Amino acid sequence: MDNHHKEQNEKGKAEQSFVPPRHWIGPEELEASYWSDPQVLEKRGQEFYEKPVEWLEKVDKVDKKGLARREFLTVMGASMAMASFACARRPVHKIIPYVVKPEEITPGVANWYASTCLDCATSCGVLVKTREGRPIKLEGNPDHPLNQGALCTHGQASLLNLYDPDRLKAPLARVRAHGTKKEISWSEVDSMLQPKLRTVASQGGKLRVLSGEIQSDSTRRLIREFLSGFRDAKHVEFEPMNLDEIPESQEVCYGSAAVPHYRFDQAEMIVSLGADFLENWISPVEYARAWSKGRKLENQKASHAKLSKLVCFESMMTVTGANADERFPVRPGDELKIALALANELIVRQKKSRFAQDTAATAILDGYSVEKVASEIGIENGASQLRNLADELWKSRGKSLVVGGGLHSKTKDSLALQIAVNLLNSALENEGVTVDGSQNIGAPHGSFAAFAQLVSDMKSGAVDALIVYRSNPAFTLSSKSLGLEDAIKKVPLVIVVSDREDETGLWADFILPDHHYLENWGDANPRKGLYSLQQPAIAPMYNTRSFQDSLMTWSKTPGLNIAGLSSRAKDWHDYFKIIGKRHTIVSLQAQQLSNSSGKVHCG
Amino acid sequence: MVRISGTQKKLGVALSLVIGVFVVIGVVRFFPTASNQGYAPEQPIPFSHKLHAGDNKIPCMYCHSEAEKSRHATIPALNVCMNCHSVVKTDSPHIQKLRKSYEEGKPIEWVRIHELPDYVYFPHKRHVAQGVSCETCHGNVKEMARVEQKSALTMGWCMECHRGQTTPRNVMLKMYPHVKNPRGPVAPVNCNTCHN
Repeated sequence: MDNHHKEQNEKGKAEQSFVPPRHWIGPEELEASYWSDPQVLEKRGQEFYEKPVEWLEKVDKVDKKGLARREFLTVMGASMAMASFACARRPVHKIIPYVVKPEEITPGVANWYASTCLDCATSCGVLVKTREGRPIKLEGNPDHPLNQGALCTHGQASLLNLYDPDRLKAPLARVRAHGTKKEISWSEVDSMLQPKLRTVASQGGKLRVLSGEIQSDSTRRLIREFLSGFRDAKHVEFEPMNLDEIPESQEVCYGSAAVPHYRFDQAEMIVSLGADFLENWISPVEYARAWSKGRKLENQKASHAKLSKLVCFESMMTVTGANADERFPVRPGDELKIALALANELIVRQKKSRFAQDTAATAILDGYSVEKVASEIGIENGASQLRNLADELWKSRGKSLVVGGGLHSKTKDSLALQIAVNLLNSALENEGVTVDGSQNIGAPHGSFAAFAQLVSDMKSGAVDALIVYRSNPAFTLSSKSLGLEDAIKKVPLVIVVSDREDETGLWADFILPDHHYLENWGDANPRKGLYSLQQPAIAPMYNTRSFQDSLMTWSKTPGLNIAGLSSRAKDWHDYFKIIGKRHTIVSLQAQQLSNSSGKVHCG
Repeated sequence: MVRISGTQKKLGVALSLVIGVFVVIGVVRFFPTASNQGYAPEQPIPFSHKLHAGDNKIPCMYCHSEAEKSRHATIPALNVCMNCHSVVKTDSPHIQKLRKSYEEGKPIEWVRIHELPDYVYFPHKRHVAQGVSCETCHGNVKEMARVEQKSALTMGWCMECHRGQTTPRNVMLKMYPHVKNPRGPVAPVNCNTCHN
């Protein structure tokens, strides 16, 4: 073929008349112009149009900076050959025993310490498995009344924060104008901050402490004591995932803003209107534990075995929906209509419950018949299904539970949904049984409204110093929402106490590393009458200091005149012990610990 | 098609056998075995088990006290050494070295002799509880001025005892109190007993 091309080309040159080749690869070869292309002429006579070797060499030569491909392969080959000889001699390993072995440590046997998980405000009890002073695993404390041995994914993973390489290892002083920062010592922090705090106190004392929801009464008390040295000081707690509408609705309906204790173990018939109580609704570990009790036949006689029933209306696939006996996918916001339709069916149509004679209630519910709501929402055969559900609820009245509202069903009508849920629970006589107000979780100490107020205060220049503790509003809210960024930039002194250099830290003058909760003392009061203790399971790994110790050091600043316990107590551990003795928490916890397995240590 | 005669076939087999033997010998000679048998490294302090456990008859568990509680037999902490050596033979330079590191709080780095791979789970606790004596695996340490690895500590060596072939008689009798001449497995031989 090559010969043919050659002939053809010579002929073409000589005679200027083109005869298409008899054998051709592509149609372009049938054109005379193809054969006069200099690139084609160059390649003519070669076996391949593109020689792979030539092409590779070209590629090899492109990158002069690093290793060429072939050099790389050579080195790889050599290193593999050498690696196969590297195992020829055993490495010498050392055994390094303790100089003085602590009595409770046996190498190879894990020690367990009881503590409290502070990864969220729920405050479950944990057992910390430690080997030679290093926590390696968290488990739920089986004797803790809240989580009863279970621990959620967040709690399990919170151990990894302890060993996170991104943790701050020393305090940072930043220059906000340039964004430069340098590591300083704690004594430098104190000597820099104390005069500044004194100035703030003498010039009006406009100090704010922003924190996440704090479960520890003693920490809150300490913050209050610290703020007493400033004339215009406030403590704002803000938890972005909190459901503010639940305590709000409780205040509207019952007059006290507290989150009730939902007794899923007492309920035979549970209807969830967008509340994902098995995964992320108020206290999911506790609820999942309680709910699963009603789903087990182990301790029941077969003749009168009873399983609780769960019906779930939700706008996304959740763990709760996946475990429901009946699940209805609905649009976000439709939960309210369903609640009203159920109430309408019970109160208006069937004239049941004590609200049947209540004209105000019936007037509101009038427009929400099950037929109308079912057709609006588009549930197939919805009217009869909702009617059956209302009947089932009524049959197990006093032992039923309606819960509603959650992160994925949050709309502008969230408060109305909660009020409708309260109405249903009230009509079904669940108050005091499955909706227990006596053991309530208590009112949340903060709200979004309080946080918004703080931002507007900062904007108007009414804040001279801001201390942010266990809160990262720059991340949980966007920097533009509420004008947070501009607001914080107006505050002359911003101190962020965090375990890492977080987003809010980028606006701070000082970023002070806090202990991980496994390195610190503390307590939690997750529910009325329930105190849970937190004890360190490891000595602080880095040059960190607990927020409480920082506050106590600063409150001893001459000129601040802070009275109270923080001036008398030596450090946070001392303070905490005095408070504990006063409230006899320690004795309670000690009793609880002695009941639990003998392996558990109480520090 | 090439024809192969019977003689050629025999020659071929013989040749490949010879080559095979050479390859096997080469591999065995060239690559080390998994065992570290006979390993007797020098220790930072020439601690003599012959003197302590042999002549002075200190029981093994006085120092290796965690062998019955833990998976590790553990090397004693320095405070255990100092129980005696705060008064015994304080003029020896080795004891002075020991005392110095005790006072400075710097632990002594002993060289590990008996070592199993990471994928083997070996608890001392269970073996001690079943009455396997220290000598069964560690040899007669009472005679060793410098400890060496007496046993192979390979999987085959473990299995010989687990199957009951080389199990000490006292352990056998403990497992089978009513059998006159016990044979057979004394310990589990499931993979996941040790590789779990």
